[in-house]
Amino acid sequence: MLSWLLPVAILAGLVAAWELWVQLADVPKWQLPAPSEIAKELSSSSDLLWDHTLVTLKEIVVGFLAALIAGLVLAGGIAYSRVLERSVYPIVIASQTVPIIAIAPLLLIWVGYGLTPKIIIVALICFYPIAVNTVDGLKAADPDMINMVRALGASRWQVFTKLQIPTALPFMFSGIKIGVSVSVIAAVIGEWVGASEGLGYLITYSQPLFLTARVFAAILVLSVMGITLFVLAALAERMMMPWHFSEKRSNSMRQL
Amino acid sequence: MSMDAPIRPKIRIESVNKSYVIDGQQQAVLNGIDLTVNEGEFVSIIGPSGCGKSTLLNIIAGLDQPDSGSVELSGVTGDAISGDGFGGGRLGQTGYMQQKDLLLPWRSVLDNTILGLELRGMPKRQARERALEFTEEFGLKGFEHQYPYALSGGMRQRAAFLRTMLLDQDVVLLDEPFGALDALTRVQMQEWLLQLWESVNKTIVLITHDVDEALLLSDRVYLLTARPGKTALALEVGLPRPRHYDMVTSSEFAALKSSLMGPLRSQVLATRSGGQSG
Repeated sequence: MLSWLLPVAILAGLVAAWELWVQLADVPKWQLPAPSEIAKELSSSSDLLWDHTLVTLKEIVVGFLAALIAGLVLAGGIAYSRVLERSVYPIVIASQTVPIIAIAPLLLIWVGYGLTPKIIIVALICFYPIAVNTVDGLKAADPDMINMVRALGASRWQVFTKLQIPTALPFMFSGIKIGVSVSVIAAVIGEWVGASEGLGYLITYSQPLFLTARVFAAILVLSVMGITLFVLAALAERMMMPWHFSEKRSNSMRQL
Repeated sequence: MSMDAPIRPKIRIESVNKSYVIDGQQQAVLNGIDLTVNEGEFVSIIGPSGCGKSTLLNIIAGLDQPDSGSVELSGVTGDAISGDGFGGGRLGQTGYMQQKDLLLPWRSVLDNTILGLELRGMPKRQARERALEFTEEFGLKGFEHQYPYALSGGMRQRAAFLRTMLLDQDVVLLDEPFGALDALTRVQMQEWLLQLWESVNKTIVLITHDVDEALLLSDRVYLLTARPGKTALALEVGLPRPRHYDMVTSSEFAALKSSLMGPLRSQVLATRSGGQSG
């Protein structure tokens, strides 16, 4: 109960201090709008914000799903095949040293200003944590368990499906949670490089006009979007691994 | 075992050698081991730590292959028993239970017990029905739908044992199945196993550190030497059946025990002086 009450109280205190300071020190609105001003902007520009939110959300969802499918398929291949592990896996890891943000302008040259380059950036950024964590998870199966399943007569494929995949689930969800967290950043970066819609675009468009409250409103919506996506991923995790959470709970009970 | 049934060897191991590379050095683990287990017999293998007992069981189960020598299971030698090509011909031909229960944490107790049946392609529902017929006998009734973490050590071990037995293999290999249990639970499990074995006609090979356990349960006890392991002694246990735990205090039992303890102690000492460990 108290575990969420405390951070909420601290946050409320900070917002109140911010409001008070802006009011008392008479900070100009274009420099730092008060929280009440941002709230006003949220309601007066709600239609505008909503339209741009849908665009960014679409980029994130499509990009993330593409990364998820590609990441899982590749991770499965790498864990199953020694050849793929030796040939493709080092490239996947090395690819992470390429600054994807720096590729964004190139994508504009190649695929234009539409949604596609943003989706590609989101996918490229989400792909890595999902793929690498899942590979680790698929390889994490206990050798004694592998022997047990083999002695029961399991084929290579059965070892993979009945043992390696369930073992990998917690790892996979770690990757997914990292992935959804960075997906929002990825979409905003994609829009900064060149776009005509989306919340990232709204920020770059509003800033030179000193519509600072609108910039804040857009940031707030982006945060809420990020938190919501994370919560959805965590819920999916709980639904797919009920044993994992009941086991954790009973272990922490034992420690009490 | 009925007396008029012809005695047929179920497992025949002849001069099997196996070595591993340990710390960059080639080390012999099994050195020309011979061992025979007849159909329906209960045989124990006892020996100092690191003498290759588990390696021997792994070889019988098909998880490992010998460097040389012959392994015959149910009258078929070597890799001639067809597997699916993944790791050797004897895989899936024996029931093998290890010291750790190795229950899959994401499966309920019931679904853990049907794993072997499921791997053979039996539909889950049918396999569950089959398993439910045995949960009472295996002391798992009422816990079928729990996850393994919720069970006690003894129960987990019995669940692993049911998983091994549901495949209904003629040969069952037990690698210190009671080693991780507390003394009282261990005695209960030994008596339970004794009863179970006397009611089914299975060939059982048991690895143990426990001399009492070996003598109480077995028709014959093999003592292995310190690494590299080979057969030091084969002791016939002539105690009458059915057996029960009270027998461990009988004079007959004491005599058998002392004839096993002496050679065992000298093998354990040989292990120490050899500077080898577990």
